[in-house]
Amino acid sequence: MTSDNQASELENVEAVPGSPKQDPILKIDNIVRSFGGLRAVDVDHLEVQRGIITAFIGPNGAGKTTLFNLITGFDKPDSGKWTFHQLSNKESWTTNLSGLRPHQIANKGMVRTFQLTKSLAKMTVIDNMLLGAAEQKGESLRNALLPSRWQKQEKQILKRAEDLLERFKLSHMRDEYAATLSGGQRKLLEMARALMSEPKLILLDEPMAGVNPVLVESLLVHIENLRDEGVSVLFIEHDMDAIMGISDWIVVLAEGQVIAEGTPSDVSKNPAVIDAYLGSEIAEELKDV
Amino acid sequence: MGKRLRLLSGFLILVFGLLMVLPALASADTDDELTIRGTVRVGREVIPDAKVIVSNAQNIEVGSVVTGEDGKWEIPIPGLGEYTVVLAGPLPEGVSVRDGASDQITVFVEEYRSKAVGFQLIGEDQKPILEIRPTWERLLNRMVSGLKVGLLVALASIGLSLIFGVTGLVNFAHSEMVAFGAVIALLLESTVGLNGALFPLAVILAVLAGGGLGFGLERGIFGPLRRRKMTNISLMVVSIGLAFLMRYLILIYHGAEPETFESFRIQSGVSLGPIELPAKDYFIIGIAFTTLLMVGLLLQRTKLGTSMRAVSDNPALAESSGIDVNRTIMWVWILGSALASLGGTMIGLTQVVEWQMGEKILLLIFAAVTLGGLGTAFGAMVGGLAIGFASETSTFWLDNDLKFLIALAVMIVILLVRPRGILGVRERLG
Amino acid sequence: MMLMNLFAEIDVSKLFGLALRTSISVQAATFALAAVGLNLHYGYTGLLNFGVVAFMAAGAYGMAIFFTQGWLGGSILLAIASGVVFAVVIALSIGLPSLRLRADYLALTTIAIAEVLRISFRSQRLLDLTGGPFGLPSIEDRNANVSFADVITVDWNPIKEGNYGAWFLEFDEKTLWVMIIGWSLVSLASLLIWGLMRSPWGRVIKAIREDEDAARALGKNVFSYKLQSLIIGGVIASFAGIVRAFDMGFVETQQFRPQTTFFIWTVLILGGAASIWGPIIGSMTFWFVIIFSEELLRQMVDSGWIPDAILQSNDIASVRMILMGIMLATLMIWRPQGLVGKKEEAQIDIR
Repeated sequence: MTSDNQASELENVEAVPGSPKQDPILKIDNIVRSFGGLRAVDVDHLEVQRGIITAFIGPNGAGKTTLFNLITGFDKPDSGKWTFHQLSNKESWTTNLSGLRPHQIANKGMVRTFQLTKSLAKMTVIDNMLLGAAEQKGESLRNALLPSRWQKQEKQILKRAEDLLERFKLSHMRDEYAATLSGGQRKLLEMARALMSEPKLILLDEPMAGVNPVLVESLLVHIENLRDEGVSVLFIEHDMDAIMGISDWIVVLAEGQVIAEGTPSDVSKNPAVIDAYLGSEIAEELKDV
Repeated sequence: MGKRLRLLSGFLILVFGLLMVLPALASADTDDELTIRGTVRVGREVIPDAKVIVSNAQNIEVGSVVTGEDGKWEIPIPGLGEYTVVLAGPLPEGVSVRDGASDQITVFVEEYRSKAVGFQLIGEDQKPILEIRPTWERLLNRMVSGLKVGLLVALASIGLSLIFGVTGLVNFAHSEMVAFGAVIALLLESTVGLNGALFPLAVILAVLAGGGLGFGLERGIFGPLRRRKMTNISLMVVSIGLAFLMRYLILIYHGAEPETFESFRIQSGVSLGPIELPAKDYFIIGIAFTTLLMVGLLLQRTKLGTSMRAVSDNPALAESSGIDVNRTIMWVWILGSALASLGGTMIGLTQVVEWQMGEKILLLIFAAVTLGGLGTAFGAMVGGLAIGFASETSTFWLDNDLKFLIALAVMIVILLVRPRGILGVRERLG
Repeated sequence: MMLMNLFAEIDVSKLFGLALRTSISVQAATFALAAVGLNLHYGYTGLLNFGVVAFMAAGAYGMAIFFTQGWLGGSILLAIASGVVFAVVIALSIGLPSLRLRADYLALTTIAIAEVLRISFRSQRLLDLTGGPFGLPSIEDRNANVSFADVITVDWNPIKEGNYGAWFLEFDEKTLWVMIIGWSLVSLASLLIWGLMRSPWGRVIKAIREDEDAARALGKNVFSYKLQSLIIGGVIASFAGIVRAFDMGFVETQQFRPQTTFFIWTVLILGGAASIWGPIIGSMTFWFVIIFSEELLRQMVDSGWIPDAILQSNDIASVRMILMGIMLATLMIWRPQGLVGKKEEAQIDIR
């Protein structure tokens, strides 16, 4: 239901780079990052709509992951400003995210995963999950030695962790070291762990890379479920079928700039996109869509 | 937040530093202390700027000092007992130890009062009486000697930096190569008899032995472990263990006694304009300088050098462009260890050969390499020169025991302000 | 035949007696205590602290300077507190600037700061405060058998004068009392670490060891946790320095050379990093093995079974260092989890 509402709002949005959205959750302005002489990221303006699945696509070296790193605080831009938004009848606010450190950005409700999974291999699956929860009393040194202060909260967190593991079909691995998981299971664990903090916006960096085709299907379902529960999703992917299948909106980057954005059908018809991918197989795929 | 933190830490370091310096401004009143003291003189003329070292019965250095304008020196000692006092020089032209006397004197301190020690020196009778040299001349001399130390530290540092560059390993055992080279050369000189005119042969053999040791370490230990996918941090700990093993094997088989090369005991100074150094020092500077130049050419102009730099830049890329990475790493170990051995023999020539040489130079090497930028050979050269020069020249104004602090302070500041060093390249993120 | 001869020469009782004695000695307790601190740094948080002695020296010198200067009436408890505060200052001045650096850079910074501290203490310029190369208390006091340790080992010693135990395990009341203090502190510190590591705080600490970026991405303030770890571990190590000072009755910079740091590393790796019992078992085993081998060698050299050409009796002290080097390297290669550590947690791949 939410998704239909949100998706319908996109009908009025112009399919041009930097177009304003009706209910943006994230706004990025003038973000620049250069390595030596090379401008890896140079985005004038970009808005990400709340409650939908937005995909970043673009050829290798387009600056997708760099942009992710910048907005999550893992890399510092030469310049730029980006903000988190909430506009509704009940409350409306704007939070500045630029200049914050990664953990501060995560605590504002924008949580990311990594291209090369960072499942904590020498911790158990359940410990990985528990770690994901935000605002834990027992994580402060003051309370750590007094279990009475955190045990109750720990139980609630444990319950949620087990529910999520159930949902992501990892319950049977609960007490195994994360190192024993397959590549696909690690991607699932990382996603489930990120959800422990109940993020408003989740950034997935190539969630399907290196995952076997059987698991890809269930990953896609999980991502769609997230959206249906009201979490905004931003993801980087190369698998065109997956992107076209589940994205509500697509942002195309090339050489660090946003060259196009729009619904999947807008983008696949856009000659600038075909140009950017010229000669690659993906250009052919795009024509087929 | 980041800026504030940096400010705060900078402030902390400053305060910490000032606290350290503050007592140094007060003049120490050592009258009541248990000391060994003396005046280095020849006839009625005093000799400034000569180094005196005191070691205890276990041959651990208790202190060292350079004689003042009045030729006087004084070194505090920890308690009663047997001490060895060494006059390390340099002595002015024409001055030498009297025949039958020694530049090493062993004394027993038996009561709680300072003990006076005198060296028996003679000058050339015809020579006019020595005059005290102007300050700027003495500073210049100290700087030249700083240049010498800098060149030697540079020699010893290149290997550490290159090995880090091509493998990512911070090799704590590298400084033991320095001691190894010196001890081998000494062994060849005294036992095998490669002394006098044959001495260069001893140096060459020591350098070859160093290269061989480097080959052995890579072939026998670090190469196989790297292929077992051991992490560089684990390998670093292994290298620490190895360093202790090597250091104390050297102690057992070389002995605790610091020794000098027989062919190059105390030499009288040779003047070159206002500069006066022992003759051997000119040679040492020449040899070190030429070697560094050759290493630079090797890295820039030869195929091997190019592959070394390529592997250092990006091993995967180097491999895919047809460079034999393992072979290159092997040559880096051989070259780096050989250079460290050469540095060691040269240091042994100017100072003494002892088992603790490696331990003593380790932090200087680390400081040099971080200053220049870990992983770059030219950085190690520049860093080595700077660190050696700064720490040696600082003794003109500061206590001798503070010269290590200069090097360490430089290293800490560089690590905090610019961890990639002056010639290093910033790592690309993401 | 030769072997028979050897057995006849070896004093087996002395061999085991001395080794056992050292493995429960104050020395073993202080190494265990320092290793508990290092375990929090390296074993759990993944911090490559190569400056463990800096914390020990801070504790020992902070205490000794405060006491011998007679500040605030020269109370020994305040003196101990000032040693601990000094260790916290050291932790802050290492941590604030350098905890953001790569792991191997942190290693270099810590070893450098430890040396700066030692050389400064040793400097003749600080003679009045630190006793320079002579240490504290002053030579006169030491000759007169006056020490900062007296309050603890004599005045506050609840054990009646005399010798306790038997065989090689006989201790006088002073040694016994300091042993009790030392091992009690080891237990207390281990309990503290156990409590911390089973809490959510400990979970974050372990996550940082595994992958800092993952912890950051989950909203954990990695820098703050590392600093907390550095301070807590540093304070524990400072107590090791303090107990050692009480045991020996004096402090000297010779006690705080870099090799002591690596002794403690060996103890930790031997016992097993990231385990509660690792530092304790590591220290006891380490001292047993070291003293056993030294004594065996000594007896073999003295009986002429090992010819002088190979090893002389005054070389045996070096054998300790060689053994330590071999242990450190081989454990790292073949048994990184040590005696009681978990194999799964042992491989270190911090960047």
